[in-house]
Amino acid sequence: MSIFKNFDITASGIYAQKKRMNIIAQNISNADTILTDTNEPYRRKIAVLSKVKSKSSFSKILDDASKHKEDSGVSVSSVEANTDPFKLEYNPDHPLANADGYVKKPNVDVTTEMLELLQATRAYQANVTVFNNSKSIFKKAMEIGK
Amino acid sequence: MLNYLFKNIDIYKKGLQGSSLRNKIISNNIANVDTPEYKSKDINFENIFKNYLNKKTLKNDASEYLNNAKFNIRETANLNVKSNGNNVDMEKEMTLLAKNSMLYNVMVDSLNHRLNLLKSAINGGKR
Repeated sequence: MSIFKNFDITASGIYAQKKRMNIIAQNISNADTILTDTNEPYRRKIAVLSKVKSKSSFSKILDDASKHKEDSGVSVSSVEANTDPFKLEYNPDHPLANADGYVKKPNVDVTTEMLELLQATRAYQANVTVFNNSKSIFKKAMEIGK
Repeated sequence: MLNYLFKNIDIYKKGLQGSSLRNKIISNNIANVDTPEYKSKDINFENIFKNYLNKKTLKNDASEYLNNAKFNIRETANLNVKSNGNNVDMEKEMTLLAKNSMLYNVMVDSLNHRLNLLKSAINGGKR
């Protein structure tokens, strides 16, 4: 229904930002993980956001019929691993050090993650603001004719 | 007579519809604030009412125009595109959102005022 679509859109924004924050948290907590299942250090994960077209067939048909070709929110379409090279740290005593004495470390930069986290937090807050705003508008609509 | 009374209400109807649609579009823009290649959108809200006023002064059938007018969703022009191909301007969207909800509230209050006048006329001024 059209009234609640507004809330669906903001909810999708909130959900996507939350998911992004989860991935950032995973990156930061694995910033020093030098061994994973694939026998290499942890690779930084990136949440790919993409816009969503109307999903369910009924509302899609309805939208096409009413000529309102609008999108319906955002989602994390995939989580990709960053292909940047691993950082090398000189530590010959380490059991995983290579012949030259270097240890491969994850390609996670904590500063970048913190910035990304800040961005996600602000986007999350903006979505909450929009949600409250829509709510107040619909409350006001209930007052028509009172 | 009754037709005349309800013509004004049609304007409110269109206004509230447009404002509600714009709210939806702004929420979509804000939800997509970090989506690569997403372009900010808006509707031709002001244009429709400007045309309506022009038609009204020309004594054309303005109310029919208003009933048939459709809000078009289009991409906003002249915005700075960020490095990921996204051009949502958060400050602009937030001010537009605040402005839009204020407009909505004003329209509802004004519509209620008008309906109360009508009510008062029906009851002969006895509340």
